[in-house]
Amino acid sequence: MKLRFWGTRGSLPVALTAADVRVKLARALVAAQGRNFADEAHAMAWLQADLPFAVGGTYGGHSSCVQVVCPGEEFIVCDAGSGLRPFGGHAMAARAGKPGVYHLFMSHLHWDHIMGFPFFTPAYIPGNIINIYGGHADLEHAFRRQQAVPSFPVDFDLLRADIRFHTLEPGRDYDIAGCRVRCKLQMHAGDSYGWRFEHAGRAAVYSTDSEHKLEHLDTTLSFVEFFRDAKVVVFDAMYSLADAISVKEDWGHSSNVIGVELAQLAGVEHLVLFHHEPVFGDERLATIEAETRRFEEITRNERPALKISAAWDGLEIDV
Amino acid sequence: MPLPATRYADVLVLPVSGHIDHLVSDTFLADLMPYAESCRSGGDALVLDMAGLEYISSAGLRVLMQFSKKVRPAGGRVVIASMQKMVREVFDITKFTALFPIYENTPAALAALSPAAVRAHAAG
Ligand SMILES: [Zn+2]
Ligand SMILES: [Zn+2]
Repeated sequence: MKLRFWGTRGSLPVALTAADVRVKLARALVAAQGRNFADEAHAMAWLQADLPFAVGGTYGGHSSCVQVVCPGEEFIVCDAGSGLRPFGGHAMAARAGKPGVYHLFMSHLHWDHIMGFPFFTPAYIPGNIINIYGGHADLEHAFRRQQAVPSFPVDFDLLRADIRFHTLEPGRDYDIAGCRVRCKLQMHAGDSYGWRFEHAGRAAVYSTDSEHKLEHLDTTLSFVEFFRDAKVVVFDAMYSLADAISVKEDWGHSSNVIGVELAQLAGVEHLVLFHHEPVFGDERLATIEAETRRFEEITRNERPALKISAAWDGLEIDV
Repeated sequence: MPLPATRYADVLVLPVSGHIDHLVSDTFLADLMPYAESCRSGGDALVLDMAGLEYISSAGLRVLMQFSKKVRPAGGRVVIASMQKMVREVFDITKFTALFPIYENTPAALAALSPAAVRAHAAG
């Protein structure tokens, strides 16, 4: 299994501005002083190896969309944020004109998690089958409403793919596209669901838009069980802990530190910080990533090291 | 088990120690909350002396947040003293550093809170 991140930003997509790009270029030029590059490939190799990611790259701007790459021809995707648009282009190229089967697992129906669907080209093409799964009963309503007048020019009824909605039960195992899939109810305005995918004895968990109030031990332990022994957990780390449990209490999001603690208790191998605050620039996200690694280090004790990454659009992780 | 407080005039010094994680945070809350009553405007100020605190998880930090939410609107003063390096780092990473005045040790905290408490401390 593999995870491929198409959209990692929380709440609202963001784009780099000209000023942001210039700062990166200026820093790269200063860092490259005295070096000669034969061609672009050499320059590319140097900037990938030697420049900090926040200078040579960007965490990216699309809202939530993560592909679970399983063996087999069918596609599995978590959430239909704006990252679903580039995913759609990638999937169509991979199918090379043949119809495809898509399985979309929805954390919930807030706008940042469904906004990519009207731009998902496979939905317009007859022959494609798109299964949309969620814990919510009103899945179809949310998808139809965002394409209704006056919000979008193409009504949902004009989509030519065969689109099917499935409301799944939390805590039950389903076999879908060669994976064992289970969802768990999470705390978020209007509810959200985390998803656990298992294949060939390995597990990946997608748990975004999920607040952990730390009020009840039972609730905490139920998440430890849901994350248990996962190779990778994608975790809503939008706020600092202090914000998440004070001024932004009940806003429905969590923090890097709670992610580390749950992952440590659950024996997770790799924690991926996700649903980045749209106000934060690359430097700030890089700092959060470094601080989270440090937090893991000082609280590790006898446990094996937990790997930590801040997700970025384009990141691929082996499960 | 209630925390053994030491009084210096109008300041109470509470030792916070051990390993405070999700399993014991409820007990920590129950131990701490009784002091919220006297910590208000015109009442006692509080120093949480963390010299013996080795670890505090998010659930333990949440208790400190709840305590602060209770005493602050009542005009109560609560400060932290004597943090170990690791706990200090946890406060920095979680951004809890901004939520409490933090002092090197208890005498420094007393000096910031109350001249009477400094005298009482000096008198032993
Ligand atoms: Zn969201
Ligand atoms: Zn949401």
